[in-house]
Amino acid sequence: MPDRPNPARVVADADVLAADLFVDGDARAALDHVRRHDWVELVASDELLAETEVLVASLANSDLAAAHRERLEAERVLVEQPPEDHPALASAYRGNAAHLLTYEEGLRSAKAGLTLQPRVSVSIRSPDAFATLFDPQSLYEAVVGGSYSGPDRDPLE
Amino acid sequence: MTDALTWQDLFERGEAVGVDLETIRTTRERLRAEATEGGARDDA
Repeated sequence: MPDRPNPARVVADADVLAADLFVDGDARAALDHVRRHDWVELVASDELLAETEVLVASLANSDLAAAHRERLEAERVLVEQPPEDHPALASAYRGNAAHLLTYEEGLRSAKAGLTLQPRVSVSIRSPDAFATLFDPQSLYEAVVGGSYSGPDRDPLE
Repeated sequence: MTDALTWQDLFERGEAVGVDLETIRTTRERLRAEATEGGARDDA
């Protein structure tokens, strides 16, 4: 396992991916940061996308769930995971991601953090915390190098 | 993957459903519980 997670790699839990789709709120603000910058990567295993697809289909319909999954598949960094592992945590661990966005209180609790810390060095945050704290300028300088010139993609395309 | 919908298209379709965050969270919890129960039955 690499020593340090990649600060430009983000995992969004299934509830955050669904909230991004359905609600113009914190989850979308957080993932807009990812979509605006081609050097920031969304990491997801097939298991995480499958969980998201089931959730979206349950809330809406299978057509929208499939279209959403297709778009996510086109943009994500694919990682493999053991099938029994928590999809979002496994995606973060296997993808060496520094950030995991979730609404699941258990994952964000101190107990979860302590339990996971030896295996997964990832910052587990709510989408609103990530959206507020995301600093593209300092991150760009650290990850890419040079001076940050602003977003390089349209998050709506 | 040239025929994938734009994010704007997806957001318009998603918002038209009218789902709120609390519904997303409770539905996710229900699906998780059902999956766990199903797994337990499979193990029995």
